[in-house]
Amino acid sequence: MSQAIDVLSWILLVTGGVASVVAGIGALRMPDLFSRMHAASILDTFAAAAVLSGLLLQAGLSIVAFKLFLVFVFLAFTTSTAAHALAKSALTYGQVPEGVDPKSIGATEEREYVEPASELADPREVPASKV
Amino acid sequence: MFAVTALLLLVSMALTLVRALRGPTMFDRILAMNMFGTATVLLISVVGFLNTARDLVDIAMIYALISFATTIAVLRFVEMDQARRSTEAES
Repeated sequence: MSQAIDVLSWILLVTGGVASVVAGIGALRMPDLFSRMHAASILDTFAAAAVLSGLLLQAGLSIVAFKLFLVFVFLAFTTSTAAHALAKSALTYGQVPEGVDPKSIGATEEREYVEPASELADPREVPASKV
Repeated sequence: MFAVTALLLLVSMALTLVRALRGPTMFDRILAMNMFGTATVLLISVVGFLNTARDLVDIAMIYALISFATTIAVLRFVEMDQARRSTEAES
């Protein structure tokens, strides 16, 4: 019986690890921000659930198991909130999903995203006044 | 098996860091940072079981909450920065 539980938890752990690598590859290679967020959500949901339930089976009935469950609950609440906030502010400041007409989501030109310029000066460059 | 999972999580974190360094906009970097935080939470739990120091789950729990607060704070900062820039551009 305990052998079966061990095998099941190993399968879950390796599945979670592979899912996290898939999410990493997706975040690296997807074409735009919103499809990258889709890849990131694989890590937040599937990989987290698989790894944590694999550990849960190893922990048995103990306080550690309850803490692992708490970690999963925290992750489930926080990652979805963070993804919502990120998508909202990205949409507000000019990120348009690929294949979507900018007009249809109310993106206007004056709210276009401005990459922060050299306000924080390059520390390697010494200002002329200090030479 | 814990070691394999930890290794796979480390590979994923490396890929995420590449995205954070390369990311064309600030939002890509924030997304990568968020993913890195989640992967770190999982890694801390797995390493705790790897070293039979299972109390590390407590640290993972705290880290999950802190990384959420960081993401929201940075997003709010970027939003305020963008709003200031767009009002400056109008005036």
